[in-house]
Amino acid sequence: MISARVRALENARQQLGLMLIIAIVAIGFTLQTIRFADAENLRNILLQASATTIAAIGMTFVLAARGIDLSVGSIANLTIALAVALAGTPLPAELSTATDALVYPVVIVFGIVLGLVNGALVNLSGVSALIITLGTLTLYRGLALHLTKASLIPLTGAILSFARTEVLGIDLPIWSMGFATVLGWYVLARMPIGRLVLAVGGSPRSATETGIAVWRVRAFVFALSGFCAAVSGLISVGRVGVLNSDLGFGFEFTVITAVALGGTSLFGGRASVVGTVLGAMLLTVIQNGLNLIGADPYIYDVVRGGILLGAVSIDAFVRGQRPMAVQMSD
Amino acid sequence: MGYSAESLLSLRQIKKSFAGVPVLRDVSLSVGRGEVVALVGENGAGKSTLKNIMSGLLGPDSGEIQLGKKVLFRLRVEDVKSFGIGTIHQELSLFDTLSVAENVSIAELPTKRGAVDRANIRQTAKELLNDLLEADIDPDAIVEDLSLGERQMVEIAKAIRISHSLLILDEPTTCLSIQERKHLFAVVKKLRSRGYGILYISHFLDEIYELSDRIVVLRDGVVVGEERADLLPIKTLSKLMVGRDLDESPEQPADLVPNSPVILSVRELSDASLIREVSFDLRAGEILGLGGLMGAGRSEIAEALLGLRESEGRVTVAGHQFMNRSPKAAIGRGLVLVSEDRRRDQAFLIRSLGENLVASHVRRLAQRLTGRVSHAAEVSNGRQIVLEFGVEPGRLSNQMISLSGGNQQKAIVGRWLAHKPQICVLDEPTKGVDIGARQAIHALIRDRASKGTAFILISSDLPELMALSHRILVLHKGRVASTIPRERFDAADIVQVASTGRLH
Repeated sequence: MISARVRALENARQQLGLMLIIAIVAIGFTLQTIRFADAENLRNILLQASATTIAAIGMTFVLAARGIDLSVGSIANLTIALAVALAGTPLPAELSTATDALVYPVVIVFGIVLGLVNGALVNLSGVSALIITLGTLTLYRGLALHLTKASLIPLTGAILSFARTEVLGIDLPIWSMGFATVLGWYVLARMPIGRLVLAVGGSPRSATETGIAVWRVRAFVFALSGFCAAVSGLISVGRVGVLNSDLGFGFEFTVITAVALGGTSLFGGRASVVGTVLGAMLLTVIQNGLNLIGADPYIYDVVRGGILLGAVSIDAFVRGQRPMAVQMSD
Repeated sequence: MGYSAESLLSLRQIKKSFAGVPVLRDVSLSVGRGEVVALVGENGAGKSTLKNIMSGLLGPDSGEIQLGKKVLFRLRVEDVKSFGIGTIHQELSLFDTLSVAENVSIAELPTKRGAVDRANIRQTAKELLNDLLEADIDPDAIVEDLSLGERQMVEIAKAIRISHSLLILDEPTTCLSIQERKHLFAVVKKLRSRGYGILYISHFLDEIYELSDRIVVLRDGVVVGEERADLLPIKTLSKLMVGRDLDESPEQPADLVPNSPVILSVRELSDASLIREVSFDLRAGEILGLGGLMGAGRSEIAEALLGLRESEGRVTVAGHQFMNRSPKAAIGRGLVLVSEDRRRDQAFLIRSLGENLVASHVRRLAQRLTGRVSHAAEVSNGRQIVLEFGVEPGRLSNQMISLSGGNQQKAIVGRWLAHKPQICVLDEPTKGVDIGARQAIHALIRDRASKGTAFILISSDLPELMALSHRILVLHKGRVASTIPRERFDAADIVQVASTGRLH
C-alpha cells in the first residue's frame, strides 16, 4: 500500500517540476535579453497569462468531470458580440461602438447560459462532450459572425475598462487571475462540489450507483467553463480595444494545452488547479520570451507543441515506473 | 407470511423487461427489520435487476413497492437516500482517485464553513473501517493504491455509511480473505441485531446458510421457492435453483472414439490470482465442459492457454510443449478461442458480414506476391461459411450490426471453425442468443466434435454444459474441485460443488 504521504509528495513533485521548468526557461530568456526580467515585462507576462489562465481553470473542472469544452473561444467571442449588440450604441460618425456598464452582466449571463446549453446538450443527448462542443464551437462562432457581419468593430466605453483598470497598482485582470486561482483551488480541492466533480469524472457508473446527480455536476462544470470563457473574452477585448472576428480563434487549444501541462487527466478524475495555472504560465513565458528575443513567429507553435509532448511523455514515463499492483485498477 | 407489520421494503408483483425480453416476471419479495434474507439463483435469474430496482437505479414496468409505510411505483434515488438503503455492488462503486475517507462519505459530505469537513469524514471512515470492520486501512490512502480486498472493505463501509435501515449486499466476499470475510459476517450479524434488514445475494451456499434467516430462490425471473434457512436442505435448494427437468437432455454428444489421442495436456497451470494448479487432458473429439461460478477462473484458464494472461505451468499441444503462448502462435497450432464478450472483442460491428467472416484468416486469402485480397476468394470463402453455419440473412454485404445476436454469434463461431482448428475454446457460446441459434450452435459443436475437433466449453448455463459435454471439470476458486464423467452428471451436485467446493 502506498501511503497517503507518498501520494501527496508525488503531486507536489509534479508541480515543483513545472516551476523548475518555468524557472529554467525564464533564466534562459533573461540570458538572451535582460529586458525579459524587467518589472514592466513581468507585469506584461501576468497580463498576457490572465485570459488563458482563467479559461483554463474552468476547463480544469470540465476535464476533471470527464468532459471537454472545445467551445471556449467561441463563447468568448459570442458573449462580447451579444453584449456589443445589446448594450452598445453605434457611433454615427465612425464604424465604432460605445458601451455602458450593462455589458458586464450581459457578458457574464450569456457566458453561463452558453455553458449551460453545452451541459444540457451533453446531458440530454448522451453524446460525448467532444462532439457536442465541437458542434457549439462552430455554432457559437457562426452566430457571432452573423451578429457582427464579420467586421472589425472598434470599441469605446465601459467594456474596455475591466482590462485597463488598476487596483492598488495592479491590473484588474491580474487580480482576477489570482482570485480565480484561489477560488478554483478551494472549490476543487476543498468543497463538496469539487469532490463530486472528481467522483463523476473518475467513474460515472459509480457516481450513478451512489446516487450522485451526475447531470447536475455536468451542468455545473460547463456553466463554470462558460463563465470563465466570458471573463477571458472581456480581458482579451479590453486589451486590444476592438471586437475582431478572430477573437478566441484557436483559444481552446491553448487552454487545453495549459490544463494538460498542469497534470490534469484528460480522462477525468484527476485534476489540479495549481498545475493548470503553472501550465498557463509556462506557455505565456515561452510566448513572451520568444517575442522579446525576436524569434520567428512561426516557431512558436513548434515550441509549444514540443513542450506539451515532452511534458506528457515524461509524466507517462514516470507513472509507468510505479509498481504493477498500483496500475491494476479497473 | 406475517412479517408485513415490521416490513422495511416489500416488492409486490414486480415485472421488468429489457427490449421485450422479460427478466422479472411477477416477483414479490419482502425484507423485514432484523432479518437476513438471502437471494439465490443462477446467472440470469434476475437477481441483479431485482437489486437495481431495490436500490433505486431501475424502475419496474409494473407492480408496487412498499417502503416503510409509503406505497410507490418505483424507488427514486431520493427515496433510497432518505430511507437509508445502502447497497454493496458486486462491481465496486468506488472512486479510484479519491481518498478512502472521501469515498466512504461521498454520498453526504459534511461541511464546515463551505469546505468538506475532513476531520469529520476521517473519523467516520476510522469508525466504520477500523472499529466496526476491523480492517487496517488508512482513511487518507487513495483508493487506487489499495488491494482488491481492501477496496471491497471500503465499498462495504461506504454502503453502511448510507444505510440506516436496509443493507443490500451483492456478492460482497469475492475478493475477501478468510479473515476479512469473518469480520464482514460478524458485522452483518451485529447490524441485524440492531434491527437492520439485510438482503444478501451470493453464489456461495455455505455463506447463505451461515448468515441467512430466510432464503428466496429466483429462477428465470420468478420466485420458485421461499423458506426458512433451517428448514431448507442444501440438496433441495440446489434443485430449486436449477429447476426440475434439466437432468435429462434429448440429444447426446457422439460417443468418444476409444483411445483417441490426447491433443491438449495442461499441467499445474497457475497464475498470480485466479488459477491454481489446474491440470487436465483433452482428447481429440472430446467436449470438455468447464463449470463453476463467475470468478472461479474459467475464462482465465482460456486466456492463459492462449497466452492472453501470464501464467505458470506446462501446456502441451499434440505432443509438443507450447511455450511463449500468444493468440497468433495458438492459431498456428490449431488452438482458437471464441471469447465471451464477442461484440466487444471479436466482431467488427460496422464492417460487412463478409469481412467479418474472413477477418481471422485474411492473410491466407491474400495473394502471395501482391498481398491483394482477392474479392472472389473473400466472397467464396464467406459464402461457404454462411451456408455451412446457417447465418441469416446471409448477404455478405450486410453490416454486421444489422444481424441478430444469434446470427452474429453463428458468424463468429463459423469464422473460427472455418480454420479447421484442432482445439476450440468456446466461452459462453450461446449467451444472449435465441433458442433457434442456440440449437444450431449446439448441433455444430456436436458435428465438429464427431469429426475430431476437441472443444473446451465454458458455460454458466448448466443445461447447456450438461447437454454438450463428455466430461465436466467443476472449478471452485481457481482449483479443479471435481471431475464428473457424463454418466454421473447431476445438476444439483454440480451446483453444490461449484458453490462450496465439495459434495455434501
